[in-house]
Amino acid sequence: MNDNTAVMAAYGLKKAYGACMALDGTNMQVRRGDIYGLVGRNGAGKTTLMRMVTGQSEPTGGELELFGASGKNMRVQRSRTGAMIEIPSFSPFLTARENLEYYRLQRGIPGRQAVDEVLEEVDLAETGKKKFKSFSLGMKQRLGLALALMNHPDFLILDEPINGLDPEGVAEFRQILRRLNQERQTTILISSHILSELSTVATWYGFMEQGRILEEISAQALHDKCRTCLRLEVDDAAKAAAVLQTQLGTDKFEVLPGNVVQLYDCLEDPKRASYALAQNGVALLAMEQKGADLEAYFLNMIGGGRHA
Amino acid sequence: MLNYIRAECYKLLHRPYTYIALGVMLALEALYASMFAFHTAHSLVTPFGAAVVTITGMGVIGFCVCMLTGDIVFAAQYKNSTLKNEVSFGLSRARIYLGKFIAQTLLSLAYLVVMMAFFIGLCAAVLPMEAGDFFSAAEGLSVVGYFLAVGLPLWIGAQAVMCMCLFLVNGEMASSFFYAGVVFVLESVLEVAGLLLEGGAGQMLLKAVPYFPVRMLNEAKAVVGDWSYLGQVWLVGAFWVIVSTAVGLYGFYRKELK
Repeated sequence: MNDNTAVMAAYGLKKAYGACMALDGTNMQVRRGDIYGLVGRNGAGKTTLMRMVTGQSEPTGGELELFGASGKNMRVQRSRTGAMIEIPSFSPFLTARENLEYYRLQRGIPGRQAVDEVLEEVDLAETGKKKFKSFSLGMKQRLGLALALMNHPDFLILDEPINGLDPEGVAEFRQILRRLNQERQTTILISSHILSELSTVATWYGFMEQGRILEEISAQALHDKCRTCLRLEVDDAAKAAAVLQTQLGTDKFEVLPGNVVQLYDCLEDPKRASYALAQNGVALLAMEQKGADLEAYFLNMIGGGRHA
Repeated sequence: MLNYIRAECYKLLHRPYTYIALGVMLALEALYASMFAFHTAHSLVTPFGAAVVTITGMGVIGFCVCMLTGDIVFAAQYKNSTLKNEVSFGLSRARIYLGKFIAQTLLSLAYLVVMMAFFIGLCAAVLPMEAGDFFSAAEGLSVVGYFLAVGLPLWIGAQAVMCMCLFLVNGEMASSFFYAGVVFVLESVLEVAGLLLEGGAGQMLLKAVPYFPVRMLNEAKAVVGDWSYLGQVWLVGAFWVIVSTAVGLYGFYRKELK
């Protein structure tokens, strides 16, 4: 679905708060059609980055592009985005419909039905005269999403959007994102602490730590990296590969540098592989089962220990 | 800009605070008018013309109304973090700032019209029109008209100061204190400083003092019908609007929204 055109790009982006570097040379690219999952622990710089994209904060260095525009020209392009950064914020004395009507008028979105449609979409159509100040966190999140969607954005920026949603809400939210991405080709930048949830929607990941993007990787490449396999360290990788093909009849393996073979077969019965190698004169120096989910991959990348 | 102002008006019309504030002020006006009616009925006859002229002694209320309308329109946007919704859509900060200022001014003007119409109407209804030795109705209304013509640019200037305070200072209470400091207190501080300081600096401060809005409005009572003073007041009002808006916009452009 993506076409390699960058909807948003950061080049050496920096943000300093006194001596503290919230962003320290961030480089990243969100391509059209992607659902880009931004992963990082608290204070990594995810929200700071999103606040810059949405114009709430100005960078102290580097460059930011939105739909190819940078600097002051970026402001106009923001009308093509929808954003929900941190806690959704609305006038507490207005109802959901009144709040959205206010922003509809302000943004010049034609037709009052736009408000009804988007309220229907996030399941808030029946809130009636209940004021925003009486909303639960989940309802606030839904209203925040409704505002972000009201102008049919090309690029949706969501910071921790599923905080406070119940399981049913999370599932609905996931469906909405998928539908927007597939039917309207909406590009989405999303951060979440719930990595398992992120992994169900993201097509591309950026791992962030201490104000920098450590790695950008497609969901497919990450899936391949995280696949469970047997890591075989042998004395002769070429010979081992031949043995695996002829004796075990499998080609589900990769030969890596350093006489390492990653075997994606025989996971239930690793002894078969070791016997076959030994019987054919290949010395098996080490064997371990490898595999990781998104969380383990991330923790491994940043050195482990703390949660995202 | 028109969309922005329409949206602000929509919000105002759906906010109970707008009606409650106006209701309280009208109730106070009713109380004030009923005081004249009470006197007229029992001892001292106060005709319509004399009653409406007393408004000229209450110009300071206009400056307080600016504080109120500023607060109503701004609607605690820093506290509620709602400005981010506007900026993130790509609305320019200038549009946001000026839109709010215009909405505040429109609300103040609406309050002014309703309050004046209510008070004059009420006085007309409960007080005698025969003037005796006092102001006639026509004289009274012409004095009020002049007072309003002088007050309008000064109130708009004060509105611009309030708007600046709301954008520069986080928190409505702090903004209101800052506004009160600039509009009500600063002139006295400058006057004292001007008297204490010797030389050019002191003279300069003393020269600035007569151009503060409250002082200029109070002066108007003594020069009713002076058209040159009216022209001067409009220039001073414009000066306050331009300077406050420039400072407020500069500060708002540099502000990080949280």
